[in-house]
Parts: sequence; structure tokens; C-alpha cells
Amino acid sequence: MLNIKDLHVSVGDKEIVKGLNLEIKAGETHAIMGLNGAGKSTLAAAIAGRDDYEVTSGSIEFGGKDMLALEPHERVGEGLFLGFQYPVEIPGVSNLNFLRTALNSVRKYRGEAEMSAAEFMKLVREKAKALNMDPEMLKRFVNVGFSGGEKKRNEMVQMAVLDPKLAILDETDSGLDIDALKTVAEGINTQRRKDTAILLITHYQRLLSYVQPDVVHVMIDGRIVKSGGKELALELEEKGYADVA
Amino acid sequence: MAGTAEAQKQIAEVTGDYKYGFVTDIDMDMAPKGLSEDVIRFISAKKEEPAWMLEWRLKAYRAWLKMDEPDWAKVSFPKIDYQDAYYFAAPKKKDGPKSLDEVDPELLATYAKLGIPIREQEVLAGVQGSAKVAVDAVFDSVSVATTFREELKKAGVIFMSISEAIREYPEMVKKYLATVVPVRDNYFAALNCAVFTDGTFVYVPKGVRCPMELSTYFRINAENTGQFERTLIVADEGSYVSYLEGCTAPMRDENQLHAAVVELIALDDAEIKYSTVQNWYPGDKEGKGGIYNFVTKRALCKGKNSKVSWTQVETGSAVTWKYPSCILAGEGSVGEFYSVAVTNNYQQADTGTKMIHMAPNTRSTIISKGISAGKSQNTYRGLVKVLSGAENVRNYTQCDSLLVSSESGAHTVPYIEVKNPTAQIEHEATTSKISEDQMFYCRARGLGEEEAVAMIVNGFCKEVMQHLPMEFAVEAQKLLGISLEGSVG
Amino acid sequence: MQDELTTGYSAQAAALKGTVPGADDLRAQAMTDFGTHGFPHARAEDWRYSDLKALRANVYAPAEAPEAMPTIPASMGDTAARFVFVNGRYQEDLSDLGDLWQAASIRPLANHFTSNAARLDELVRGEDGVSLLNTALLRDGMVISVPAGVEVDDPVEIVHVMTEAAGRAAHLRHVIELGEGAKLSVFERFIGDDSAYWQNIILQARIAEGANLGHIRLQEEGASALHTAKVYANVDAVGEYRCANMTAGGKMARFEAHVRLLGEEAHATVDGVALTATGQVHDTLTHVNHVVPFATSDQIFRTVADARGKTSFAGKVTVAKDAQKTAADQSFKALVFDRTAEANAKPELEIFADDVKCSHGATVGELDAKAIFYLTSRGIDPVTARRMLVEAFTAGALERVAFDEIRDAMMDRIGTWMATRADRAIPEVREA
Repeated sequence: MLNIKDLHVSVGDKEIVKGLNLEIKAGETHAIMGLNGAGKSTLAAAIAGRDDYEVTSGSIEFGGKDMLALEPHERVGEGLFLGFQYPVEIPGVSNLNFLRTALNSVRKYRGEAEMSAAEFMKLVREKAKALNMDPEMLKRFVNVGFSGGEKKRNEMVQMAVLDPKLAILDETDSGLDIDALKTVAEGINTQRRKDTAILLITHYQRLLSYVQPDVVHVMIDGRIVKSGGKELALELEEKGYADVA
Repeated sequence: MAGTAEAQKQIAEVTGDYKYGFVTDIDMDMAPKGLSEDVIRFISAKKEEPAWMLEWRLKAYRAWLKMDEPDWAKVSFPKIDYQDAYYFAAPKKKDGPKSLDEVDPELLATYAKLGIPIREQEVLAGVQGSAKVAVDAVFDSVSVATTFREELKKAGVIFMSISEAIREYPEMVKKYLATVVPVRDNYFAALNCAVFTDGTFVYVPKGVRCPMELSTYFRINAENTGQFERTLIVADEGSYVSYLEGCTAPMRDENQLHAAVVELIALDDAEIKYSTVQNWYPGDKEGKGGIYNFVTKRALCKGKNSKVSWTQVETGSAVTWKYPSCILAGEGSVGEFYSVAVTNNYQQADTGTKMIHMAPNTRSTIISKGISAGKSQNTYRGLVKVLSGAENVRNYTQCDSLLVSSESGAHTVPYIEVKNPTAQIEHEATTSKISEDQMFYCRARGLGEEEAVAMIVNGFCKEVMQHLPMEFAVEAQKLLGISLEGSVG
Repeated sequence: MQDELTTGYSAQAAALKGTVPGADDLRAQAMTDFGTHGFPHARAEDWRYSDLKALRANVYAPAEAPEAMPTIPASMGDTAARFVFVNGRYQEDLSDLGDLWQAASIRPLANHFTSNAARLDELVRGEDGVSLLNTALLRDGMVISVPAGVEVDDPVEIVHVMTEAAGRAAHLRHVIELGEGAKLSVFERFIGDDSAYWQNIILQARIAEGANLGHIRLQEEGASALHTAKVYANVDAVGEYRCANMTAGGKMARFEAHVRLLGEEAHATVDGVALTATGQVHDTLTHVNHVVPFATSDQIFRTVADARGKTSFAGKVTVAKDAQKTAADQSFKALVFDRTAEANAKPELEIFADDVKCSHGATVGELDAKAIFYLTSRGIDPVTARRMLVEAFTAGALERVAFDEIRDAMMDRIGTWMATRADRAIPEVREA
């Protein structure tokens, strides 16, 4: 599903991802672990196509398509979802309006008809309920005045509504209390199917007790230096990055 | 605005960025080109005005000749040749339409194309759940139709073109005309007094809540023609009226002048809500053509606890010079100004408000959102003035500017003048660009670049848009998106 | 009247020929321009709140040495040097060069151009009748040049005294030049007697890369005085201009600061306090011009207006077309004590670049009655309570004064000013 080969990414003059290879197949859940500054978030941003994150060489293929040739929103149309470490506030734009516009843009990209207002409301209410989100939150402006946990929960609702093939979740577990963490984990697990894949980016093992990955990668200084099963995460927690790598 | 589905579709069929740029081919009655006392006599005669009105116009004209065009606004345009325009252009009428059924079908088609419901039954059959709106349709220099007059009359509300009001209610017009905007107030107001051709007159009697929204739809059609409309709204004690105004013009290479005067008078406990969606032709991408929109709008909150609320969404015109203001003369009166001004390409807008607090316990709120794209210049200019006898005045002003391009300008020029210690005046202003984080977040959820800009801009304008009547708000939101098309990248 | 003004001042300019060698042509040009412009009218946008009636009605004769030298107040804390000007003329015997002469070049304006004619081009000519006249009637002033890398820690004090000068004017020009990485603080004081004189002064500063100029002004002119002051500061990359101004004296006083940020990461702070009462007109105008990217500016102004005082602030921030990443902030707050007082504000943003973060805030109002009530309910008498609140209100604008003695002296003046207004009614608590 996702195939990254020898990826190099620079921000400004600084190279941050330095020759990274990664393959994720449908039905798999991968976790990339690493310390701050290892290049994890840069990798996520580059896959999603953020401006200023310049891919200097290498390739990113997703569903057989060259992602680097596509605009960020087109990548979403192809089935990619990026969960933000720090979800952005957009004053004046309600969650509902935002989600509906997003969903219909994606459907339009795929040549599907717009979803009617009634259908959409049904879908959103259902997903919000499943993730224990107060329906009132849907009427509020996107992330404005949300607590850290509420923002992450909101990301999960967006993911559920957009139903991506591949969800990349960047530090989605950071700053959450245990209840919020469980809700987020539930959201991720619901999204795990035979035809979907998940890429978790984290530097703690905590989330991985609730979402069991198939493959764990260790990222240091812009490269994946070691890959293994879920036991690798535990080993990292015990011995620290220096020893494992 | 509440249009039929059919009308909406027709609009969509008119291609191009400016969707109202078509020309209606219709026989016109024109005044001779240029401006002179004779032309003014011609206009007055055409409108079958009483002698006092002609005298009033001529006096204004003589005053105007001695005045200078204002030069303090942050706008620049080639000198206007006032002799190179027509000051009167009206569709030829047979005997004048007595009922709506007799309105020229060509005109009806024009308004249908614009999505304006001229036929009452169309309004009734319009988009479900939409409120009833009475329309005065002004085409170049004359009002061609006014709907729901009978129904309004039953409520005691007078809603008619000002030309008719001068003939039918001369005493009332005399009593209020130019009491808020004096003839010599400014260059363009004086010009308007001399040559104004049509506009709307509204009187809402004591204690009456106007049963429906009133609106005037202005259309400039003829070439080389200026439009000089005059609107006068009087809300008597304890009454309420909500009035909407919309405007469009064909795409033409030359600039056309629109110099209107709007006067609002609110007596004790009365409330007037005045909403504008200004979508005059803004000129093309190279800045050619477009309307010069030089408008004087002012409200007198004459009575105790009266209230006037201006809401404007300004997306059109090549040059805008407009400051809808409130004179808060009645104790406890309230003035509000909510504005969104979008400029793109070579548009220039210098707009804002004046809140003159003359009486105790008066309050005002100003929320202004400016969005500059392309190579445009967008200026907020405002005055909050508290006179020494006005105790306990409150004002809150917020001016935010959003920059969408690196070649545009956003300017804020607020004046605060306070002569009473009990006043509390607060002013805040910010200028920033669209945040890259917000853009990426929207795009990472599947929105295209222009869609993302439109969404963020609409959010930025939310506080203003929510003051528009429902029917207008939807239209205005779309308009924002359209106005910013091509501004990204 | 304009003809009389032009004739009168032309004669004065002619009489000054040769007093500043090399500057005669400049003087003549400025005089010609003055003849064309005259004094600005209240209709001129930037002079909306000033009152120049006195200037338009009289030709002010050149100020002359007084019969008896006035007493010069003591310095506030340590100084690097002290220059005294009486009635617009430098007083060598009242001044003290301290150690400054060892670190920097100090010259009277009259000798400035003889050694380097090119410097004439750097002299600000002025953009209106007031500043043009300053140029046309150039005569005296101090030129301080601090070489690259030299840091002068203690402030240089310049005291301006006007006495026995009714109907007379002083047109002073100071020039400050800081080399790369140099550092200097200038503390200007203005005092005078009750004669109706006109103090018309320009200070122009060039701040090279990485240099740092602190500029503190304490204006306590006499009660009948007319005070017009302009500062022009050009700041290169990573340089800093920090200004704090206190306006308290004069009948009509105007202070203008024109700051141009010409290099990346240049920084300016322009702060001020005005205490305006009994028939005074105080007008402050600032214009901070961000010419290049990455420069920052911050302004804090607080003014207090009492009976028949008119206090105004017009602060303009311009961001040029390519000055991306500019950050500019401005805060103006006015307190009004009396219904015969007036406070005006015009915080203006003029922005031609898109990637900027600019903001301003302005408030006008009276003291918070609830705060007074709160203080009095804790046992503080209302007069003290009010003084405390006014001190707190104004302190924010003086926080960046780097010298404790000077800042304390300024705060004392605020306390004294309040003490003379002890009889003012305390505002009532009103419902919001």
C-alpha cells in the first residue's frame, strides 16, 4: 500500500530525513518510534505533502501512485489521512461545516456524488457517538478552545468520517490522560481492517499497549535503524534507544 | 437572496468570474450627456416633480460647483470628467406599469437572471422556508417595480420609490430629506442631491414591526451612465424594519460612477437593520473598468433607545469610498457596524464608519474584517467621537485584516476622539496573513487550495456574516469565495 | 500673514549666513520651501490635533542670552557627560564633558560640516513648515559620534533651558551617530520659565549595524511655552533604537518620532507618557517604518488628561512591500478625568507586505471606579488609591527606561502631578 524508497527530506537548508525506506501492506499496523528530533514528524509531513518540506530525493508510492506528484488534498482523495500532533484552530469555521466540506471534496476527487445533508449528519453523529464525543462539540469552531484530549478526539472523528486507507497518526497519544488515550486507541482499532493500514508515530510505548502493532521501527537521525515485532517497543522502553539501536 | 431554483441555475450559466456582467438590451430614455442646470431640469421634469424639488436640486448643484472632490482617502483613480456621463437613463415606458404584470418582460427576465424575485408569486414559490422579501427594483435611473406594496400598506408601512414618495407624500419627504446628510456634506452627496434619480422611501409607523424584509436591488445597465440613488428610511416610535440592498452592473471597460445617499432616521425605541451586499462590477483582472462606488450612508438615532445596525459585505466596485455612520443623538441609542470588505486584483476600498456619540448612555460596536488579495488596497477608516455632554458612552471596535497576497495592502486608520471622562472606548486591530498551519490542516483534510482559503476567510468573517439575514448570508458567503478566485498561488 | 512670516524668517536666515560654515545653501533651500509650505494647518492630516495659532500669528525672534544665567538642575544619577543649552545656545561653562570626549567625538553643530561636506546630505531638511524652519535657522546643537564597538554606559544628559524669552524661539539640532556595535544613551531635559517662548528642536540619529541608542526625554517646559520636537532615527541591521518620552510641560507641545528600520532584525521601542491639564495641548506622533524584513517594533503610550487638557496620540506603523516577517505592536491608553478634557487617538497601520504580524490596541476611559473602591475597602484613602492606580497605569510606558534614577524621577513627577489634583471627584461605580 505504502512504499517509501530512499527518502530524503529537507526543511530549509537542513536535511532531516536521510534515506528512509518503509513498506506498509494493507491490513498492517506499523509504529515508528524515536526520540524528539529523529525526523518522525518530518516524515509524516512529507508524506502528507506539506509545503516547505522538500523531498530532495527518493520516492513515496501509495496505492501504486506517485504521491510526490500530487497536491496535499489530492493525497487525501487517494485515501491518506494525517492525524496532527498539534491540531490547528480555525476560528469561525464550525466542525460540521469543516468536515462536510472535506468529505465532499474527497468524494468529488473520487468522482462520487456529494453526500446529502441528512446522510452526512447521520454519519457524523454515529461516528461522534462511537468516539464518545459530545454532539455539541460538532457545532463549535474547529479545535477552538478544545482541550488537548478534545482535539485528539476530534482528529479521530475526522478520521472515522473520512475513512482513509492509510492513517498516519503523529504523536496522537501525547498529552492524553488514560481515558482519552483509551478512546483514541479505540478509534484507531476501529479503523484497522483488512483493507486499511495504520502508521503510528510515537516516542512512548504507552499507546502500543492499546493498539498492538504488527511491525515496530526505530528511527534515529532520519533513518530507520531497526525493525521488529511488537516486542521491540517493550525492549526500547526498558533499555532506551541507545542500547537497542 | 431567495431566488427560484430556475434563477439560480440561470446565474450559474452566466460564465466568468463576475456572474452578473451581462447587458440587457432594452429601449432607453436618456438625458443629454453631461451635467448642467438644464439636465437637472430635464430629470426633474421626467420625474414629474413639484417645483420645490427642482429648486432644491438646483441649489444643491450650485453648491456642488463650488466644492472639491475629497482627496484624503487611500484611493487613486484618474480624474472623473463629470461632463462625460449620462445622468438619466430609464427603460422607455409605455404608460408606466400599473401592476407587476405589466412590467416589461425583458426587465423581468433580467431580474430573474440576477436571482431577484420581482413577481410576488415567485417569492412565494421560492426556496422553501425562505422569508418573504419585498423588493424595489431600480434599473439605472428609475424604479421599475415594487412588490408587496398592498400587503405592506395594510400594516401601514410605506414602501415605494422615492420619486413616487415625492409626489405622494411630499410633506414627509420634505420633513426628513437631507436632515441626516446635509446637501453640502461632501462633494458626492451634493452631486447626488442635484441629480438623484430614484431610490427607495420607507416609512414604518409607530409601534409597527414591518411584516417582511424590505429590499432594493440596484442594477446599472446603460453605458456611460452614473447611478445616483437616494434612499430614505424613517422608523417611527417603537417600530422595526430590516432592509436589504444588493447591486450589480454589466462588465464594461470604462468606469461608471455610483454616488448614492442613504439616510436613516430612527425615532424613540425604533430599530433599523440595514444590510448591504455590494457586488458592483469590480473591473477586470488588469484593473480595467468597474464601478466607482462613492456613497454617503448615515443614520440618525434621533429617539431615545433607538438602534441602527449597518451590516455590509463589500466585494465589488473598482473603487469604494463609503462610511455608513451613526449619529447617536437619542439617549441610550445604539449604533452598530459590521463590515466585510474583500478586495482582489486592482480593487481599492476605503471604507469604515463614524460613530458620533452625542447623547448619554449611547453605545456602539464596530467589527470590521478586511481581506486583501491580488494587487488591491484595502483600508479601514473609522471615527469614534464622544462629545462632552455624552455621559457613560461605550464603544468597542475590532478591526482585523487578512492578507492573501504579498502585493496587496491592508491599512487601518481609526480615529478616536473623546471629550467625556465617563466614556469607555476600546479599539483593537490586527493584521496578519492566512496561517500556513491552517492552510495545511485544511488541505490535509482534502480541501483544495482555493477551497481552503475560502473556508478560512469565511471563518475570519463569521462575526460579521452572522448579522446578515439568512437569505443574504448564504449568498454573501458564496460571493466571498468567488471574489477570491484566482487570488491564490 | 504668511508673507510677513516668510519675510521675517527670511531676514533671520540671512542674518545667520556663515554661522554654520557649509550650510548656507541648505539654509536657503529650506527657507524657500518654508515660503511655499508655511506652517501646517489643522486640516493637514498629521496636524489634526495640534494648535499652531501662535506660530501663524507671530514671527518669533531669535532667542538671546538671558541677563542672568538660570540655575541648572542637578543631574539624575551618574552621567557620561552633560551639555547645557540656554535659550538655544551651548553653554560651555555650565557643561561637563566628563569622560565622553575620550570615547566619542563631540562637536558643536557649527563645526560639523567644515571637515566633511558630505554630511550635509545626511541632515534632515524637514517635511513641513516647523521642521523646515529648524533647518533654515540652523545654528547650534551637539554632534556626538560614537566609534564602532565603543559602549558608553552612563547616559549623556542634554539640558535645554529657556528663560526671559517671550516671543523668541530656539531652533536646535542635535546629531547622533553610532558606529557598528556602539552603544549610547541620551537623556534630554527641557525646562523653562513662564515666558511665551518657542522651543523648536530636531534630534537625528544614525544607528549602524548592531548599535544601540537609548533616548529618554523629559519635557517640563514653562506653562506658556510652545514646544515642537522631532526625532528622526535610522536603524541598520540588528541595531536598536529605544525611546521613552515624558511630556508634562508647555502650553502646546508636540513630539514626533520618525523611526526607519533599514536593516534586518532592527528593533525599535517608542514609549511615552503625557500628563495633560489646564489648557495644555499635547500631541504625540510616531511613525515607525519597517523598510526591510525581520524587523520588530513595539510602542507603549499612556496619557492622562485633566480639566481643559487636550491630549492626542497618532501612531503609524508602515510595513513596506517586501518587509516580510515584520512584527509590530502598539498600545495606547488614555485616562480622562474631566468632561472639559479631551483625548484623541489615531493608531494607524499601513501594510504592504503579507507575512506580517501587526496589532494595535487603544482604549480611552476614566479610572476604574471598582478598582478605587477595592483599594479604599482595604483601608487606602481615595486620593492615594487614585494616585496608585494612575502610577500603575503609566508605569508600563516607562518600564523600558534603563536608568533607575531617571525612571524614579519620572514616576515622582506623576505622583506630584496627581497630588495637585487631589480635589478631583472620585468616579462613581456605575453599572456596566
